[in-house]
Amino acid sequence: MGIIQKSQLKSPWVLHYDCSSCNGCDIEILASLTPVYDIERFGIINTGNPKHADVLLVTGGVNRRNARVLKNLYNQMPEPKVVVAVGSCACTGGVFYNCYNILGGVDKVIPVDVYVPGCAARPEAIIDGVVLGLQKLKEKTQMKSEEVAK
Amino acid sequence: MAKIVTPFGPQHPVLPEPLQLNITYEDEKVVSVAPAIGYIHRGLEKAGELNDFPQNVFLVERVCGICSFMHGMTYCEAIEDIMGVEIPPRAKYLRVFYSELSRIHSHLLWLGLLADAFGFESLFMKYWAIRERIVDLMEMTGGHRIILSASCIGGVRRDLTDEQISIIEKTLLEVKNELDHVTPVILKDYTVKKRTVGIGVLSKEEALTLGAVGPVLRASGVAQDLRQTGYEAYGELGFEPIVETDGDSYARAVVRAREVYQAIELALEALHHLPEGEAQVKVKGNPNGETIQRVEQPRGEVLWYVKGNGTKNLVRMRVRTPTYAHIPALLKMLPGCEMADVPVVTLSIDPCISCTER
Amino acid sequence: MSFEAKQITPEQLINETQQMFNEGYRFVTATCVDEIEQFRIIYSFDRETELVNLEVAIGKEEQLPSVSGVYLCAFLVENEIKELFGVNISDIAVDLGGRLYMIEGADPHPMTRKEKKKAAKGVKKNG
Repeated sequence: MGIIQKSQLKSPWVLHYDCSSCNGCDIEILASLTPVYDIERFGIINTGNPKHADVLLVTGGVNRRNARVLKNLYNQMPEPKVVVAVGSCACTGGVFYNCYNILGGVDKVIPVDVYVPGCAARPEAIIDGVVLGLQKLKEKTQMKSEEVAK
Repeated sequence: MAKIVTPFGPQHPVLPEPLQLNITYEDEKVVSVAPAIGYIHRGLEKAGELNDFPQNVFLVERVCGICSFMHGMTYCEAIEDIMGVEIPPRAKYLRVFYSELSRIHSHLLWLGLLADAFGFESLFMKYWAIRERIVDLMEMTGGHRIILSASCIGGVRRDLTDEQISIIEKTLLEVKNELDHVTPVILKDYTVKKRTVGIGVLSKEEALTLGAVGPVLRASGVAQDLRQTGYEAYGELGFEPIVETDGDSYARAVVRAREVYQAIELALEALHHLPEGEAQVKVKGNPNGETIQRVEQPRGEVLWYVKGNGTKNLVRMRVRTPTYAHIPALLKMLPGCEMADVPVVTLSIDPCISCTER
Repeated sequence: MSFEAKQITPEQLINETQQMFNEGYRFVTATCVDEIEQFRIIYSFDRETELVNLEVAIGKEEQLPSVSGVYLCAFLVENEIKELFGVNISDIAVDLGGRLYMIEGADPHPMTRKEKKKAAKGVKKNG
């Protein structure tokens, strides 16, 4: 692993996208950035630009209109990348399972690495999910460097 | 100068939610705005017809995670109104208490986001740190940080113990003290005024004809607050709406900053006058009939229409949320302002897109 | 029950709404209810926290004039009703052509009710 890969694991940047959540998980993601939970002490920074992001945090189930936006954001992120589905709706569709415009969980559209349950997911759970995602990121980085070596 | 069209959203660092505004600029001035919504449309009203009416309480609390309690409460009020259920006085006061707690939480959250929109990050952090105290109270009383599920058809699911009440009173007074250090920044600071005074002006007549509600309407000089109608226990608590007359982004911030104090007073007063007795009555049967119920949410007036036909499924459930009413006003406020002011003006209506699109 | 509505015909709608506007009422919302054989649309207005409703009943194929010429802010809710219920509303000030939420690949008017539900059983229970 080069220095860039190592530093990526020590300071992952997250991108947050709200699919069709109720806001509950979104304010919990913001709450985990603010003084009480403060994920910046782990080097995690919230960025608005998908091209700078390593981890994609998605809240809410996918609907017919934002599926395209979600795919776009995912494709714009550089490899290796990790997707964390935050909240019950992002995992399965949750309480909105029978709404006509909901396609289901995030995994209907893009591959998901970590599922964080909870309605709304607590900041502790979100931080745990991101940290779990970092292990995945490490595996992916190693796989990529092995491929390059071959 | 040629005109250019730039999309604002759906994924934007300032708004946590996907609102898309296609803005036409001439030089750096906004000329016209076309909204494109539908990124969060779920079809919740239809799901309300498919579920049983008691199940809907959990569904409607997820119309919006921030005013979650208020949606649940209004839906319960509507069902109680159709079925002719009179809830106990203790439940009425508890609902007032939870409503005001939600209002404090929502306004602190918004004041923080506004500070973030004009790049005052330390103020954002300060407000959100204070907000955590309120969220802790919600967790202690309701069992969850955000979505409380405290209201149920026939009253309030969770009663407060004397020990909890004393902790709440102590915490609210501490929050008030902490706010005394932070609120002067919003009210007096030069940088805050520079970014908000005279930006996104909405006159009194425009506010009324464009159907603005809540803090936006009150910031434009109309003293209207649905709590004046005295639903639940508001009639017994004494209450005056907070009004500002300038109608700009600054006035809207001031209204909300002052309402936080008012909400703390009201919550304390509700706890002080809390009557003894049950907090919940048993409800039997199914709703048959229709009603319209309105309450004042942190963002403004919300309207619920519920119709039942005597079965456990409703015929129609409809919600008109405050942000829905604010979108025409927002389209009026934006033209003429600078490109850099678009996030501030957009935030000044306190947009909640998941409310709007349901 | 805290709900009263004045029954009017589709032809009266614009005049009645204009009268509301002149009296200084604020437009709150319009609510569409699908009664299977017809649509009922309830227009709500507010003045100093007093709520006034107008109710229009129209057949499923009939045309309804838009009130957005009087209250501009009604365009949003009229577009919503047009898309979700398929009510034929003409001359909306900002007509999005029934594409407000842009639901693609689904039922065109998802809020309409199709089958008749049995109401008798629950009515008995309610007494």
